[in-house]
Amino acid sequence: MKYISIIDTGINNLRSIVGAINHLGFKTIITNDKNKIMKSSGLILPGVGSFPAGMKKLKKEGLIDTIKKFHKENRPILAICLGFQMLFSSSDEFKYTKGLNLISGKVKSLKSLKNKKIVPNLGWNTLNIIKHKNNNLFKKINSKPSTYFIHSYYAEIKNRKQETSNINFGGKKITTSIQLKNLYGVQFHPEKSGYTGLKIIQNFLTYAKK
Amino acid sequence: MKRIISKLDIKGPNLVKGVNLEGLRVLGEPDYFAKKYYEGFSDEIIYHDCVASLYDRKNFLNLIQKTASDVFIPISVGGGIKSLNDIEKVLSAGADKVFINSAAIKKPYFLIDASKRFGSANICLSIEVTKNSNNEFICLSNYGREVSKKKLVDWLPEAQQLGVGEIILTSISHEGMGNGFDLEMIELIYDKINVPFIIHGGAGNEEHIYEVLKYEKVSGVAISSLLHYSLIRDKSFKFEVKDEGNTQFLRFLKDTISQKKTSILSIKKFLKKKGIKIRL
Repeated sequence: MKYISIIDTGINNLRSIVGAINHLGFKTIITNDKNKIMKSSGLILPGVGSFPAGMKKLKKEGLIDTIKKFHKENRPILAICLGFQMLFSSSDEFKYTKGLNLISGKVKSLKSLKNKKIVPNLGWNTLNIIKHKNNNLFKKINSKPSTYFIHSYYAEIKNRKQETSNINFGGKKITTSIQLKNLYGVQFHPEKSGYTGLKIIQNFLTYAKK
Repeated sequence: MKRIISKLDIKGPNLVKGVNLEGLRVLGEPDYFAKKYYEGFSDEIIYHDCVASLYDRKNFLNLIQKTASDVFIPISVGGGIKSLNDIEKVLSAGADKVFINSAAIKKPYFLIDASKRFGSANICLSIEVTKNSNNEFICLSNYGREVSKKKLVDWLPEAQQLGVGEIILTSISHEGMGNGFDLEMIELIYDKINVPFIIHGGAGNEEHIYEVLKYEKVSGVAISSLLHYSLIRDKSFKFEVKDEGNTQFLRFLKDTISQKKTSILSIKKFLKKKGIKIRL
């Protein structure tokens, strides 16, 4: 049986991501079981809450190596919101905490940008999509889509080539999605972003089919 | 980007709507409306359990679960949230944010505890105000049923300091009237706003919504009557009336609605033409 695994990172609203994936014709399981995860055709790393709590949970469940192995085998992973941030090297939220370090860069407070924008960044933002024929998540999506954000921290990426979209946050370009081979990450919530979001998830799922 | 939010007041199994939060009329099944608004380009759904503790809470949680499974926009939920346990239940049922009013007025520290545990971005404050005899805006609790000692001008900055991620402010005297938003109330506290800010109460047409979204710090509007009364007059609208609550309106009186029929999409098109940044 083919299915998508969704990692259970604690207090989480997984209802909509499950609903969206099922709606698109895929089975899902919510699990922290390594064997089940390794047998799945795609992996979702969600996350709501703080960076240290999220990493602590992954460590406790022994999932850090599992996620890295899944990625090493070039199998599709979609990391959402805090999940996206945890892909990076480290974060400053509350205290310095190491991340999964699959993408080089640091997670910093939006407040540290000291611009006029209200923090948290809550609501819909228009994405600037990086035009590239291998920008897989944004295939067949209109050139200026809007998606739903709710976050107080952002990821400062080292290698801009891994960036697949960004937003303008009070004059600063913030990375809102990444792609590295079959690893995808989004700062926004595709499962909360209406039809555009569903299309993004659908694009991801085409790689889980292969 | 400004948000157009559909606000649905829930009583038992039904979507209801009143005027100044009173005289609740049954309008239909909440989930049906939520789905229609999602399909019609609403940016967010608010479920407000307006009798909270009086009814079986399980029904309400089931409703959130059902909606979150097939409505792919944010869902905010409030009404009767008193404890961290309540918040956890509502969030794990599928809500993205909760809003708190009465419990925060009673015990402001509850906001700190909630923000620490669930992240301040997920904890919103709802403020419902009315004017007292001294012409001051006073906060109400329990769905407008109880007057508190808090003045709007004091409570808003205090709550922001305690760590709320968003504020939704309702003017009870304007709620359900369709005569425009309470601009005097906005002017009074405008300089103090430093979190995302939603205004509710008074939308009667596109122009009213434009007037209030012109304020930079107003991040969105919450609309009830204008959307509901448009939808129930739609040809496609179907509802098997459950015999509970005041269904007279839906059965016999819906032709008496005088407001212009509209939709989220036409509101958004109007705003876009006026230069407001909106998702279309």
